Amino acid sequence: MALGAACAAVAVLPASAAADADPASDTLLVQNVFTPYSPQVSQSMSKALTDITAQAQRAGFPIKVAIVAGPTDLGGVPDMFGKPQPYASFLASEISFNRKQPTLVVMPAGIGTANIPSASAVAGLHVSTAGPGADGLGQTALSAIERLSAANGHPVKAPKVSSGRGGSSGVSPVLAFGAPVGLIIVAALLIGLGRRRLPEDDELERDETDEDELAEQEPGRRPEHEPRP
Amino acid sequence: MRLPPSYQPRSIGRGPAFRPPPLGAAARAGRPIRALGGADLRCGPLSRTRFAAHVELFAHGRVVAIPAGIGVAPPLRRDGARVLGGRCSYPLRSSEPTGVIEVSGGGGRPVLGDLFAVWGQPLSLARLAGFAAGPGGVRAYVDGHRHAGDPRRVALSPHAQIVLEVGGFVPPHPVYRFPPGR
Repeated sequence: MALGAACAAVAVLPASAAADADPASDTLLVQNVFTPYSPQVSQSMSKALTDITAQAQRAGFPIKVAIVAGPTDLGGVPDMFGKPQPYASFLASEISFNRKQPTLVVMPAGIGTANIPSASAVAGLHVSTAGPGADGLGQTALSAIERLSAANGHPVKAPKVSSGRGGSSGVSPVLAFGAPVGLIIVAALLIGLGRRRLPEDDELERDETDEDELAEQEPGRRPEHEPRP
Repeated sequence: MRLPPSYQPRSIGRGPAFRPPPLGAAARAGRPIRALGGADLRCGPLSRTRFAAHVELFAHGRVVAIPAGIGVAPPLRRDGARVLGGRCSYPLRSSEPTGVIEVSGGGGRPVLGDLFAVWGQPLSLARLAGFAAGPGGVRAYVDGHRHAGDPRRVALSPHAQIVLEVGGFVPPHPVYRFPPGR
C-alpha cells in the first residue's frame, strides 16, 4: 500500500507543466465519487458510495473519492496508474480550488489520501480486487471511509451493498472467464464421448456439428459491459 | 517515482467564466445550428457515437470546465455528473464533464468551430469562450503539436487530444486514454 505524506508526493511532480486531463478531477467537481470505466462498479455499489459520502458530509467529514481500476480511468495521466498516493495528492490539488478537499484514491495497487488528518487509519487496509466488476475496490473505499471518518471523530457506517443486483456493469470475473472455459470443457467432453460412441460413418458429421456448437459458444468472447450509468 | 514531465495539477479557475453553461439559446431550443462548413447541425434522436475527441481549455493557467450536456437539448436526463439524454441531441455533444466530445451522425469531419457553435460559446483567434485572448491570440494544440491559424478549423478527429489556451502557457497533454467504446 502506498501511503505517505502528501507533500512528499507533490515534491516529485515537476513544476514545469500542466494537467487537467484526468476524468476524476472533472467529475469530482460535480459529485463526490468517481467510479471506473472498466471494470465498473455495480449500481448498488455506486449508490452505497454516493450514500456514504453524503452521510459523511452531513456528519462534518466531506470527502471526495476516486476509484481507479485501470489506466483508462486516468485519461491524460495514465502513468499515475499504480501510484495511488501521488495521484491522491495530484487529484486533490486539481479539485481544491475553493478549499482543501479531503481526497481518497483507491487503486488495485493501494490507497492514497490527501488533506485527511489521521490518514494512518487506513494503513494496513487490504485492497480487494474481487468482483463483480470493480466492487472489491468499491468495498475497500467504503471500509476506508468508515475508518477515516471514525479516526476524525465523525464516524459513519457503510450502507449494505446488495450483491448481484442492479449491476449495470459489474460482470463477475467468474462469469466473464469461467463460463466460456466451462463451456469449452463441456464441449470437449461431448466431442470425446461422441467419438467413442458413434460409428465411424457418423463421425465426420458429428464432428462438424460439434465444431458448429463450439463456434456458437465462441469461447474467446468476453461478455461486454453495459454502458456506463 | 518518475513521472512524465507534463504532469502538474491545475485547478479550475474562480468565477462563472471558468464554468460556462452547456447550452446556448439555439441548442436549448433545439434549433438547427449552422456549421462552419455551411451545413446545418440538427438536433435529433440520440444516435450512435462514431468517435470521440478530447478537448481541454485553459485561461490564464487555470482550467475552464467543459460541462456535460453540450449538444443535448433539455429536459435532460441525468445520472450524477453524466447526461444520459434529452429532448434531442446534436451530432456533437458531451455526456460527461471530462472534455470528451462525442461525435455522431453521418460522414463529414466536424471542427472545433462546430463544437463551439453548438455550445453557444465564442471561439476565434481573439476569443476563447468568456476570455479575450490578448496579443498572443488563442493557441491551439493537437496531440501536443501547435496548430497555426484559426482555432475554429481544428478538426475533431477520432481520439484527437486538443488543447486551447489564452494567457500564460500551459504545456499541453499529447495524449488521452479514452473510455472503452469511445
